[in-house]
Amino acid sequence: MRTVLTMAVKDLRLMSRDWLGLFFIIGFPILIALFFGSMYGSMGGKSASLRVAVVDEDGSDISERFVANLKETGNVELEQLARDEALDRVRRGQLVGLIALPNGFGKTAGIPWMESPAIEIGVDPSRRAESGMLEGLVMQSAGKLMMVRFQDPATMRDFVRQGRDELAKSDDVAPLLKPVLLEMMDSLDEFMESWEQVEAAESKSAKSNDAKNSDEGDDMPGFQLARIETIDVTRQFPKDSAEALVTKLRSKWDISFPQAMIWGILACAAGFAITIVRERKQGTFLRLQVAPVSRAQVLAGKAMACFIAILSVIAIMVALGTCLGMRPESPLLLAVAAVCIAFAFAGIMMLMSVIGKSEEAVSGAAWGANMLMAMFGGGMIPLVFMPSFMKSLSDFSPAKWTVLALEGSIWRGFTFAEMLTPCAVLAAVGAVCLALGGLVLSRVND
Amino acid sequence: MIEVRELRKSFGATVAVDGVSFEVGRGETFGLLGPNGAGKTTTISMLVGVLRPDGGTIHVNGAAKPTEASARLAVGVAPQSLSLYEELSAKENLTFFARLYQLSGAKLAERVSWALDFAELNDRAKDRVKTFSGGMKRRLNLAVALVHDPQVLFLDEPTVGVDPQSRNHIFSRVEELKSLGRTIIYTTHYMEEAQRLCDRVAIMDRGQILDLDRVDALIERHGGRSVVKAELVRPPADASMLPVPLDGLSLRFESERPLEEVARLSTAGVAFQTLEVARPDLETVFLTLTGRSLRD
Repeated sequence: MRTVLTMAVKDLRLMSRDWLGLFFIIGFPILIALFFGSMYGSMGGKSASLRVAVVDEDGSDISERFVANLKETGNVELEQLARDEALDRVRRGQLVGLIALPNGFGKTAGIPWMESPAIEIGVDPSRRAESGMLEGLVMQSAGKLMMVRFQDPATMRDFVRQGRDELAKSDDVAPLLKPVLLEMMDSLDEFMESWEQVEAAESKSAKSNDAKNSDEGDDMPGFQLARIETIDVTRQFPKDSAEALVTKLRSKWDISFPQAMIWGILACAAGFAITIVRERKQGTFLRLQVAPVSRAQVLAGKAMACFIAILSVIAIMVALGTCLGMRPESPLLLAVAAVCIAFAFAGIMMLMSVIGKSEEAVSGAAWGANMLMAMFGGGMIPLVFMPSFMKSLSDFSPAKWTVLALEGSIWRGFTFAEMLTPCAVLAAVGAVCLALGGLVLSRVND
Repeated sequence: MIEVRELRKSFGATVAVDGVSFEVGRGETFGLLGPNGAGKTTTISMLVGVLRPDGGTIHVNGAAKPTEASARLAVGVAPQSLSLYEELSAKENLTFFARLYQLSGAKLAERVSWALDFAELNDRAKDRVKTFSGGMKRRLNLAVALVHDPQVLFLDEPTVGVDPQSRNHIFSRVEELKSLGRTIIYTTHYMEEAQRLCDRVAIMDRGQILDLDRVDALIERHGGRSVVKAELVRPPADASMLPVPLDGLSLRFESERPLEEVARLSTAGVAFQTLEVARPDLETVFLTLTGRSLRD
């Protein structure tokens, strides 16, 4: 192992001193990622305000006031729709979500001592990040309703009268206590009446200012402003359609970085394949052959250097992507994918190195093979947008499985079971190519 | 130390090595002399285990096969082509190859330092090889072969393409190694190198060893007589004293004792304007054995 490591370190050192090679391994992919990421910007980017449907089934003053409060937040663009239409448009990805105010909402909304009204919220599954924000806006608007209630003496008087009538009819209250309470309710009613008169005399603008400055109710602990119920919004796109997949994007870099990584990975494979031929031609391979080192160790050293270089490329690209806003869904699956990819392309590198006898031949053939792999594997056209015939052909390109594994862990939300397919294909490709390349190389006599 | 019996190797229809046999003793410097394409490098490649022979046996340092670990550790090879990593420094090249021979720690540092000293590259130790002159690369190429302190050294045309200064440096280093008791197999097509450095020489051509012996023995056996060429000031009074008739004022004759013959003529009053005595050498030996020049 020490010998293999010694050789791998030597190869990595040589790689680090080849500035042009290094550019193609890491610089070029970064440029591709930034270029295409900027192009895809409108797809994954989010508008400043959320486009949301409002389904007002209550139709009361309070529900209208709630909608107005929601609009006042400035963070949502509201469309008043019927429930079915709203659901349909959310499912088609045209709206981020919907807020439904069911019948009876206005009866209890904003009254702390009564049961909180239900507010139904449905959010596009691909916009889960925004659902929290939407719930916050709903709660804020519901909180403002409470202030509306308290600032409207007529409404409050109705509640006091209603309470007095119920008290008068009730037999559960102690006979001695009942008159005291009724008297208190009457006093309250009188107070409300005089407040109502004062309020009527005040200007509407003053009312409005008061309402705007009264946010304390939002944070009032101990009771619920609104009872949020979730509406199941299942998107209607076919599962693997581009539209369905695009809705999963959370950043404009989600597609461009895996797409760019494949170029760096291919450059690593081609670069190390060329170094094997170069060693054979410049004579250093002969020195390795006469040293007390087996051919297997020599080849393992090369493969390990390539493996480490590919892992480094992926790590650097992921780090850069993360800095820009890409958020890998599963770092663990990403790590598994990276290992499988590095193994696969270390094997491909070995096979590439035996497809020609001169540096020029291997270089030309390797890049030719790379271009084909990239073309059909998602390096040029993202897998998501490939026409169906290309998708079928892409199955034969290891680059496709590479991009799929990367995307699966970064934004497609693959489960462990879903990741098994690309990872198994990559592992198999790596094993077969390593065996074939190693076999041919071990038989090469200089 | 090295024993080779009936070694054969063909590449398709081309027979590169055809029944080569020889032995090299411990501490001996053995030369393989022959023109390009004689089979020297192929023979060396089989001796170091890079090529598999079609037939014959090879024993190196007691190992039945040159690919055995004991043989590999005992052998150092300086290939004909410069086998160095140009993007690494001299020190990095030496360190890398030394590590392959399981050197580490203080021993590694000591051997690398020794090799840099040997190649006279201490002041350029950290410079990348690509910045070196041809002679410096050649010296480093030799030093890399020695960094693990091998008992047997294969030097394949070590002075090809180097300037006279570096060539002299390599000669003196090989002589130093000889004095240290290293066994050296030296291939060259420069007869003066073989003549200066080798205890015994095998004359190779077309894959075969034509003869093998000490240099003086080969010359004695195949070199023939020395040639004397002279221009006289004037014809001698008695022309019969001359071994051959004069051609104008030019005199050319062969002799087994050329200096004695020249002394005799001078004593007899022959005045020489120019005089040249050409003793037979390995070039003559090769010409005699193959009918063509080493550099043909």
